[in-house]
Amino acid sequence: MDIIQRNNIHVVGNQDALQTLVFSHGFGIDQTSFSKIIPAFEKDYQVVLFDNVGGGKADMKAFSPKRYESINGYATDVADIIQALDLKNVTFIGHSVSGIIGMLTSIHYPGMIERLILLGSSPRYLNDSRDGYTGGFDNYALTSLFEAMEGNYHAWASGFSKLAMRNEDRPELAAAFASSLQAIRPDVAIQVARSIFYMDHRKDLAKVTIPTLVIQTANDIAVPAQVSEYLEANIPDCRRTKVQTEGHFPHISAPQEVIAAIQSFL
Amino acid sequence: MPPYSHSCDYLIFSIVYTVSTWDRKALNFINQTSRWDKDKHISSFLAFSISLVKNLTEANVALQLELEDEATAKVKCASPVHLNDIVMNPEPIRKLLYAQGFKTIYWREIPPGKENVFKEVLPAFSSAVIIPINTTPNNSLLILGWSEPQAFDPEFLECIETMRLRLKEILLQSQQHLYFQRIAIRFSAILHTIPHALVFINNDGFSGWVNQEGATLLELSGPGEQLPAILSEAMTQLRNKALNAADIYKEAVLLFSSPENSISNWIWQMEHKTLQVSCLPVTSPQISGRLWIFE
Repeated sequence: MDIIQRNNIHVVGNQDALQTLVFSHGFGIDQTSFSKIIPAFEKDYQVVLFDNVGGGKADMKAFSPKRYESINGYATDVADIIQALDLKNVTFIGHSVSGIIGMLTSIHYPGMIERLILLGSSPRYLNDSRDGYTGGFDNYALTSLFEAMEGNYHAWASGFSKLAMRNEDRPELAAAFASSLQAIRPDVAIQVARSIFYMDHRKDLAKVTIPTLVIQTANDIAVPAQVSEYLEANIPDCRRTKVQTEGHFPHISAPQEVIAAIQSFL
Repeated sequence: MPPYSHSCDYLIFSIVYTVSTWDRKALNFINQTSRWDKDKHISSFLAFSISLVKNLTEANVALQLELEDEATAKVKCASPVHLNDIVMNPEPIRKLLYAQGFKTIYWREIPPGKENVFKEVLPAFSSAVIIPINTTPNNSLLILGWSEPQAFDPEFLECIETMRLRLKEILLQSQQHLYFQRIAIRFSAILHTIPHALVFINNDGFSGWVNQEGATLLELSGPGEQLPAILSEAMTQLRNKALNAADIYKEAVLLFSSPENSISNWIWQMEHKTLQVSCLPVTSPQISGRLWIFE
């Protein structure tokens, strides 16, 4: 399997730089979602962008329902990419589920990633009444979500994109997200969404051994504020910063704030 | 008795003791897994067996690695459990297995760098044993790892090979159970979704089955397995409630004496609805009975 083709990998920025930034997109979008962020780092860093299998321009033939039954398959993909490109001094910036994917890669492959940035990430989306954990969704909400996805995926994508993007004064952002979601094969989108929304990686947080930055979103349908606080409290070497924009995609809606947050950590 | 004689006795005792230790462990494994097979639920059989191998060999890690497809090798039944669900690339693993002729691989020292294709699960171990267990459709491996270097003497190797044979049986049994469980779930969901009432009566006289619609029509406690006697009684009551019960009875006599042994478009006129009934023989090498369909 050609990893470059599988993940539609692009290496940009300063190829002679000592540090590498690997950007990994979240569910329903692709590497172009970082387009407003990348220019700020191109001079001083080698920058690696890729599409997760099932999304963007990744090779659809590589989608294995078994490999991607859980996000562990994506964590192995990240390790494949870092090994294939022989990347050193890697800071991994993962948006949404990709933050947790990068976290798992750092745990399963010690030494491969040096620093971790979690942008709007969550270790578990489902509330857990046993220990008072707030993930943002109860069982009913998730059941309804998947019923809607399975019933009429395109209509669901249109509705969900508005709720997730917020920024109602710029409807083109939600429209672009809806279009990106609708481009994914519905059965693939539903399987991947299921593996994301029902995952639980809270026990893995304590195993993180590298410095971590949590970038907290606001008024985020997928990740309530408590989740970012939970990450900060449970990842050993972790600090948290907030960005002053609404919605689940601050790197799209407020790129300058995200750039500043990343620069403060590097 | 000369002094050397004591040393000699001790040596013999030690050898016998060592040999019997690994023999005993192999027997212990077979005995305990056989008892589990009889008494406990099969869903945890493989996990129990792998955990038992870990305890008996005093390994620090034990897990099953299933080669699920061309892109997926998945960790299962791991001890410690946090290794479960790790996904590995199967290609380098397959190459190693082919290179070793699918024989058990004994690594007294775990090879460095890329030669260690199991680095995700054996990151800082000294010795390891990789036991291929060939089954269809998916091949599996059992991986054992030790923090301290291991000698792997011939008696240990013999014990591992004995355990390997038993593990293959256990794995096959577990895979078949999962396979049949998946089939049962799928067909049960399909049959319960069909809008017609379905009633199957097995000719063995001991088993029958109804879907949800069938259970509702016959006023049974629930769908699924039912004794044929209960089904027959419920169907008799349904027939007796029909407005054309006498016609139904006459048709039934014809049905059971006809060579076709089947009927369709049979009208059962109930008080508030008309049932269109089919009764078909079900015959296969494994099962024979009669399927009733009420539309």
